Amino acid sequence: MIAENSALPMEMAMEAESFVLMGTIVNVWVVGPGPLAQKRRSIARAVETMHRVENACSRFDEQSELRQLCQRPGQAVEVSPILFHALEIAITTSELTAGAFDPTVGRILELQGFNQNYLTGQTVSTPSADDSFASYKDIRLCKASHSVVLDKPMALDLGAVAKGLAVDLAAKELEGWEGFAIDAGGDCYVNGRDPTGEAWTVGVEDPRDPTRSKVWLKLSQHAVCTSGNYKRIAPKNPGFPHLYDPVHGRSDPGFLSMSVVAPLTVLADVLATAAFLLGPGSGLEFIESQGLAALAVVNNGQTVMTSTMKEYLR
Amino acid sequence: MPNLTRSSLIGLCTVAVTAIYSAGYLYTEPSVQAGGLNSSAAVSPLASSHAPTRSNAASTGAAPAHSAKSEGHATDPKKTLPASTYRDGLYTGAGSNPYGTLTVAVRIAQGKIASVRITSYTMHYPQSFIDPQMPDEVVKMQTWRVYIVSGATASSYNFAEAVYYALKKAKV
Repeated sequence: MIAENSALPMEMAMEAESFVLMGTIVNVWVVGPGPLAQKRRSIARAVETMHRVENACSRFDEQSELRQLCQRPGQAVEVSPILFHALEIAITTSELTAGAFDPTVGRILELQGFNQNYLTGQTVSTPSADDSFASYKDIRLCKASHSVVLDKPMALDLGAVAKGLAVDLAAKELEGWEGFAIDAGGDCYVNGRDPTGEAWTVGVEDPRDPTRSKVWLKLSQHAVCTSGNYKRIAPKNPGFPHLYDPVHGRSDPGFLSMSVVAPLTVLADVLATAAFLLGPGSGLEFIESQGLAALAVVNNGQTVMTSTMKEYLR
Repeated sequence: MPNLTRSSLIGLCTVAVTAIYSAGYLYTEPSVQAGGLNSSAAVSPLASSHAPTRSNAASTGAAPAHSAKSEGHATDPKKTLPASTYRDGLYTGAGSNPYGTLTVAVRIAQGKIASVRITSYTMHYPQSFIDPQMPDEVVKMQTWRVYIVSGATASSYNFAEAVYYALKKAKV
């Protein structure tokens, strides 16, 4: 899913840059009058912000705050606001989905080969978590001290939260421009106007043919995030995708992909994964209960959506 | 136990973004360059636009701004490599995903990307999907960043990744 720029002649100056970040390619667009150097400074700040989030929340870097926390089960560990809030969002989503979404699936993912750092090639491993049968209920947060206690050894995975949160914080750095967009490997946030002066157009990939877009959305001040297992397959077990519901022990609840539109990227990100894991039985209803819009492709290729989604269709 | 408001995830997320941002945490840390890759990862020395019709104003404006007015920000993408800062020679890079790996050899001549060759390939999709289109594009655009057009698959990403690492070695 990426922001599409229309083929119409551009009315406004635009700066677009790309970065390798958070295991994917991140594209940032800034649109509107103003010196190019200033646009680039804004983009630099936005990217710096995303690095901060990656350094706090990466599951693939033993030096990240998240991995340091996982190495100290049983202790109260004071953490940064980034990690604290990311954990809080993840745990709340676990509660809302009765554990279908669970940030403690990290060890299961490690064992399937999702354990390699995309920059260094080094692998991470948390063998102490093997027999602990930890769940999100074993994470305790203390708001007053911003500290976390992991009651059991576990390998945390904030993959469905961190990228969205990084995009939202990066967006704060781009506020003030007439338009901007951030696409972080499928997590997309758009604001203001695109280079043609209209709302941004965002394509949602067809999971059965990722070279095409299934639908086009027209939006502004909104995020679109898509979750699906059609792209990332486990190195050690091709049948095991990277999204996993530990309560039901399943990773194919019946959707090929789930896309959520929300005012914040972190919200769209975590809810897309959660609704994907809930499956066709309750996934869309869950998004509706949160007051948001979603569009999903069911395993048979059929597209289903909430009634609120229609207002975003181009 | 966590003091959580179960009903409003949207409220929780809003508070999170605001709280992290206003905590000033993002800029008060000592190690500014913790990520390491961001300054060198800034790309597109030529193109400053993804739009099919590239704005001339934007791309001509880009050239002087590269050298002018350095603010000394540690991660300022203004320090993007102009194409001429590559050292002549042959450099290799690899890109991989869970499906496989591809490696490229990038030849730099007179400071410019002269050729890009895919030297090994074990991806699950046919090599013809990306070869020779993407290597040609890199030579034409003088950047590792191939256009990520709507619906780009993992293929373009891994190719770009491989060229990116090769060019990193070629950096003066």
